[in-house]
Amino acid sequence: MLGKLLKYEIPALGRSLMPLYIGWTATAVLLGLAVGPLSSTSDFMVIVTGMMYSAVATAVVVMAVVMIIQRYKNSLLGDQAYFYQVLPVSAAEHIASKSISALVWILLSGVAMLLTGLVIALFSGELLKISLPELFRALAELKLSGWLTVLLSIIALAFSITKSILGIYAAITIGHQVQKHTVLASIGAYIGVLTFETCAGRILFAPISRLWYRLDDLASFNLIMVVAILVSAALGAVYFFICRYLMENKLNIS
Amino acid sequence: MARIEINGLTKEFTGLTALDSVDLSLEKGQIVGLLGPNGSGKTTLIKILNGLLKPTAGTVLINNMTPGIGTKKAVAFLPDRNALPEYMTTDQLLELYQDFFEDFNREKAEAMIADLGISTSQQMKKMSKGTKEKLQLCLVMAREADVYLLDEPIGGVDPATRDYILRTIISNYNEDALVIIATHLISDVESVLDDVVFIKEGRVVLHKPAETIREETGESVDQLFREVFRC
Amino acid sequence: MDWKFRNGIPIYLQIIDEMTMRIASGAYKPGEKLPSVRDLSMEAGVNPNTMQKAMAELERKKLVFSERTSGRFVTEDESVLKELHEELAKKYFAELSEKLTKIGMTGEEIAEAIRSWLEELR
Repeated sequence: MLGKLLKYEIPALGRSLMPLYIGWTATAVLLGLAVGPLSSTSDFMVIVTGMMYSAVATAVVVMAVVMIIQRYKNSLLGDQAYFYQVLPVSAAEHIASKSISALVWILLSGVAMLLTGLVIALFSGELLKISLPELFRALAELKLSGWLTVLLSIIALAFSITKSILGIYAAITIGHQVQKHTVLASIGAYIGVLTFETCAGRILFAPISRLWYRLDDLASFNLIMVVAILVSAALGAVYFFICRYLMENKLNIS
Repeated sequence: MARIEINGLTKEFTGLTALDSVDLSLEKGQIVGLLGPNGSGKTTLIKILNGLLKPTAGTVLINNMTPGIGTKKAVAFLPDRNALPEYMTTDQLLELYQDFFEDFNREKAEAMIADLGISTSQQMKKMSKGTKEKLQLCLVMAREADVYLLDEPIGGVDPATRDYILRTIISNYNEDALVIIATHLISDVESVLDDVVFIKEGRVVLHKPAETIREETGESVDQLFREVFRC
Repeated sequence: MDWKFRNGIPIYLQIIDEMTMRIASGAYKPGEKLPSVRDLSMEAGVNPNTMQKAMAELERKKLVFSERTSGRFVTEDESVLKELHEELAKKYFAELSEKLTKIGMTGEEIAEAIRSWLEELR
């Protein structure tokens, strides 16, 4: 059933984000042209297109966060729960599908950002100046250990994002236990989540705190990433079980 | 074992008892009217049957299971509001139902949708209120469920649609299913009902066959309802 | 054909009356196959169990009979139909005479009134 949920969940978020990605790419093209071929006369075009580009970038981030929160709140705790919560699907699958699709779209937004960067470089002509042999040489220098670090960082990022999403979900679910002032209660719960996270993070990272001063050492950095992954996984699990427990035992759709 | 068995069901909200130790046993092969004014506890009971609310005390068994995945597979629920994703077209909604409900009979749904002249390629949000309600009903009634829970199925529809809805409920009748119609528009549904359940201030005050009511009181269910719930 | 139900009278009794009328008046002919209970319920807008109960009662009265596989039919038994007509006639006469007696007519006056009314019709 998780697969079926994702079949609907991922496009549901994409409906709002895809048009923004297209707009974002368009502003990247304009910015690229303003920086490159059309740059001769004045900086005006660069400033205008640059502002457009950053505005859409901000919109993507804001929209992604708002949509992720809205989807969870409306379909599992709000009016649409009258449909979604009567599907023969477990609470765990519901929460998992929301978290996975949120993660997917946050990562896709990251990819979109890289792509807009490439588009800018391409249209401004800067891309052509990059020498491919040099690029390959730089990549080759990364070696196996370097790639491991890159991989670990990406995994740590994904875990951290998922943990943060689940933290927001947990706060919303806790907030919905209160019948009045639900939004206020959710915000209060989120402050609680953040406080908990800071304390837990401090305690869990304590054993390796001295490594923070040796970030230039790849091995220490990798170790920090591993610990970060574990900490995110632990916190994420706590949030997940809070959501699941409340949804299974205390669901209260008004 | 009755299809739905409710014992000592109580639901309290802060400062309000919505259901007060309700006992109710409903058999299959029946069309039951769950009747009560707004705020009587009807909706609370329906939500508990659907697992949208958890009881404060007491037990609810549907097919001998407490509300959960097992009962959700067996219960077809028509809410009193539109909860479907409105950006989807009729075709997409058919697929959605097919994906999630094993008992969904797509041919039946398509036949009903064609009967009603509902467009299959239109997004739901672009449909009129009446069409949305009809589409929702088609999707719910096309399931071959053990229990149909219809919350205000004829609230706010025109008389022609109301007749279609009632005829759909009748034509869909089968001996193994229980149909529950929650409504306060009694005169419209009363000829369709086997049993009648009156809910007042969170309690079941009457549970009888509609024909028995007519026979014993010489009144229609609607007339009796007006007496019981006189303000 | 339109079905109308009055308040406060069990619906199955009203269905029996309506079906009896239809059979007596020839709307359903002797030996004719009746629609299924489901179709009749839909037509009348009533609960299928109620319709079923009325049909069982009509069967008990021998106005209809069912064949296990092919459905339910109007009786072809002339004596049953004759009896039905007599019964209905009696019922209507009873209603008529009750009303006329209420406005003070005697039995003979009623008989005379009927005779002259029939002549007028001709």
